[in-house]
Amino acid sequence: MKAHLYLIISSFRRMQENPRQHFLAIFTITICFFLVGSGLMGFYQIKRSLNQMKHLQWVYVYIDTPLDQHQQSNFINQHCAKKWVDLCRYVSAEKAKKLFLGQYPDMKSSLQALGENPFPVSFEIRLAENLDDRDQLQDWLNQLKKINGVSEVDDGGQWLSQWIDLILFLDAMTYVLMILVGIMILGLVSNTIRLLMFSKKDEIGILQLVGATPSMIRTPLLLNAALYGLLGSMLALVFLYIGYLRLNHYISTNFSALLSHSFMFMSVFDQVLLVLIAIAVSVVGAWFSVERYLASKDIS
Amino acid sequence: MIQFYQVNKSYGEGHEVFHAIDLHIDRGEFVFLTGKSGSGKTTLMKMIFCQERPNTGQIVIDGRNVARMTRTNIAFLRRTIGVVFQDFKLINSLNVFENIAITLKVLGLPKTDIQQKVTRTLSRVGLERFSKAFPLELSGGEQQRVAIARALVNDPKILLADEPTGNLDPSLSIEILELFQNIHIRGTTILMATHEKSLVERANVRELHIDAGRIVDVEKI
Repeated sequence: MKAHLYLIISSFRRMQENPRQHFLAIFTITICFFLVGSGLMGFYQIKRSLNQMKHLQWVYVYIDTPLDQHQQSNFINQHCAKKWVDLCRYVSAEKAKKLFLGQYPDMKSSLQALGENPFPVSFEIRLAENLDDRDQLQDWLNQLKKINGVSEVDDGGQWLSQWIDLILFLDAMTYVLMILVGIMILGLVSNTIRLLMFSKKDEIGILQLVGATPSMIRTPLLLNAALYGLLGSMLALVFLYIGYLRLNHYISTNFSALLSHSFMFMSVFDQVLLVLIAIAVSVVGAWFSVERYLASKDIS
Repeated sequence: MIQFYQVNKSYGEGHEVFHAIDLHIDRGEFVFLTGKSGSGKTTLMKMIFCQERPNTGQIVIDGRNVARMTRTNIAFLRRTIGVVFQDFKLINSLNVFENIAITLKVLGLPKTDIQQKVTRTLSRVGLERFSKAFPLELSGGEQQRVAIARALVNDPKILLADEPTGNLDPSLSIEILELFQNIHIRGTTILMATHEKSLVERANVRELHIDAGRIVDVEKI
């Protein structure tokens, strides 16, 4: 343990001996994770916009007869207490008529000519942004249709299901892209560590010669790689934040009329996750490299 | 101390370095290994400290069969073997003291022990005043002494020296030989590869000669 500690300390102390090599390793990781972060933020932005559009979708449940206060509460408690329901309100025939006339005042005479209020009683249900289970939604809609006294359920047809499919597809694409980028980063980090090992091959050879065990050789290199991952990803986050501020400023000054919401930066959880992934990928990449090196070379 | 039983070693197809060699070196012996360049002196040394493995046959070092040793066990075996190379293999960014101390630091010894052992070893090889110097500030002979000190500091049972005087002029070669003789007096088993006939004659110890894939004990000719 003491020997391991000595080798780790001396490895870190001597990082200044070859600053270009270390800078290159950290910079490679920074670029990779800047690209990953940009991609993730882009996907988040698109997903958020799509979710917000989904949020505009309402489900209308038309009822045959007016409901009293108790019945309204019962309906809301039984059918609207779902995680995907953002808002559920009872709209009486009178209120529906009022809302209609509010939107189309010139239709007042036509409505009066009809004699009676043609608007049905309904529940207006606004869907939440986190709705992502198409089957669950479909089951719920079917249940609504089967309720006694419900004459019709207007859910916008296939639109909502297709929207959910699109978001799920985007999610899947994000995962696939992340895996591909992860493999790419693994290769890049692995090669960077291999370069570092080649630059230190004489020293590693001497350590092997005097009886250093493979774990003594491996541990400082893996810790070096972890440090690269940590510094590289943190730098990437700094660059991402600067980029985000500039982009947000540009959009808010030039496209404020087009976009109703500003861009969002990654959550703290996502930032921590990115740093942890960077460290993990760097260590795994370094592990491959070190093992391959130790298996092929002994005392160069 | 060092035993080879029917060891065969070849590289690729057709390039046979050793053919069924047997070798016995006793504890505390000083043995010269001679032979033409490319005859296999270095390969034999590498097989002793497990950098190379034989194709067939058994090698027993200090009672341990090295044929099926794991990488970790090989590392532990190497702690009992000191190795000196023709090209010194020093870390140029570390000073003399640190270059020697690295052997002890790998063992995890406390600082005070390291200080004591390195200082003692430096005085054994006559380099006390160079402890803070860096390898590139030293002459070839001095660098070789540092390499010898690094190999010795751990009091190894076996000292392997692969052409340690190959880069040195004759007077320095004799100094290094005398240093090895002093080390031998203290009981270390020494195997020294060289092609300098004068050194072998001067030392007057056992000589093993490698020729055409076989080892011949010169004393027995």
